[in-house]
Amino acid sequence: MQTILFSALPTDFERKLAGIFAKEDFRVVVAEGDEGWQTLQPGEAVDIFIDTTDVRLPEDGFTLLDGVRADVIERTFRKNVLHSMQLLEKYLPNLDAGQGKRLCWLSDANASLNATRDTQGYGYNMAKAALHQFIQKVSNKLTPRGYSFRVFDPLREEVSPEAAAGAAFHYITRRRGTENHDPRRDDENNLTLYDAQGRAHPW
Amino acid sequence: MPNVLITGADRGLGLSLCKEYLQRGYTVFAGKFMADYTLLEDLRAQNERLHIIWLDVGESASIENAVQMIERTVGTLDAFISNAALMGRTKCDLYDPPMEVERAWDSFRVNALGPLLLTEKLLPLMEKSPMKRLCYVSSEVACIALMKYRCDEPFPYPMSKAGMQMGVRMMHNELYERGYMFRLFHPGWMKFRNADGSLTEIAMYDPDDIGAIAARYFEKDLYDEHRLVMVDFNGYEWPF
Repeated sequence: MQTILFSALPTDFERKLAGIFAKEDFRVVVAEGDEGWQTLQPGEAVDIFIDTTDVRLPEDGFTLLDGVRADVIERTFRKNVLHSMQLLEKYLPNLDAGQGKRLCWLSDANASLNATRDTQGYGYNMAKAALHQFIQKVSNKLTPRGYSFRVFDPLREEVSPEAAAGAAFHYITRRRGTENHDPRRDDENNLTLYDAQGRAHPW
Repeated sequence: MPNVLITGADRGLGLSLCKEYLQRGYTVFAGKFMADYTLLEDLRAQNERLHIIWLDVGESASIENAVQMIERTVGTLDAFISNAALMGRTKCDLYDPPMEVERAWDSFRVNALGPLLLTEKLLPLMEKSPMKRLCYVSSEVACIALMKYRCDEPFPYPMSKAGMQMGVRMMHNELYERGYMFRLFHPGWMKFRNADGSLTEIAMYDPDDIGAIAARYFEKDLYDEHRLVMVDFNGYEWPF
């Protein structure tokens, strides 16, 4: 039985996703106390880690002309980036001990450097762009050790939590090389941002 | 004649850009951060159109002071060149904990948040300018896709530059229709300028040569201002 570690289950989407994993006979553990779910035992091996840190503060709706809220940008960065860095560092020994070696983060296609048309959400988008670069650097380091990576946008405004959780489960658990039914194709070495409707987004 | 603010002007590309813009007749406001470098003061002794401002782009109060000084001195600003950056090595190895994650915040605060805050504060001075030129010195390390092939540097600097690039992208989304023109420039690997003005032999390019190229790129009008692109000293576009 594979063990999947969630950093937390803050919204309905993450709880639905944890439910799917449990139903599919994964051992689901949650790092930050969530009643009803098991917690990680010291030294326990983890196969898949899902960092569900994905904070968009309500005050982050300013434009440049409204006035930049440096405090909002800092809080968003500390949560979405620094906290995520610390989580990975903390649980990497557990993942090294596991067989699955799959790391997953939640993000948003609007934090694509190439594609965003946003004029609001500076804190979130800038933090996620920095996180994407962190993930890229981490993948350079950990891919040779057998790790694979998933970055997923649940499309929270467009897709129901149930549908997004189903899409996330398939994306997280499948080998990417099989998605085109071509056994020769294996793009696990390419870091990709996928959304809940199966679209790949540029960084 | 137009005027320009250049941050991180103590040495390197920033200092070279100051020289270049002075030669072009601009009034130059040079952001100074390093007390042990006096190359700006030497330049000031030769040219009274150079105004030295103490400027730490990572500190809001320092930004406010700089903007107020420009306002008092000339009242308007035509071009802003964000060149200051916090680099340097840091302990960020996943397999040698603990990572110094605060260094990631320091880099982001100076390299990404600083240019955003400074741009915001400068906008009232630039509204009446016909140039409205906002220029950001960036790097190939901002390109997430390209970093697939690089695992030698620590995390904070590339992370901060990706964050900065996102900030510039969003400002472009917001300000292009108001007549602001954006430049993202990748200067390449430049020689380091010592406090005595000499250049190290390590690295490839003389910052004076790159400064001349950058100034031309920053100054000229482009036919495709609606596109935000990062251009290097050869004029090649880089992916984000």
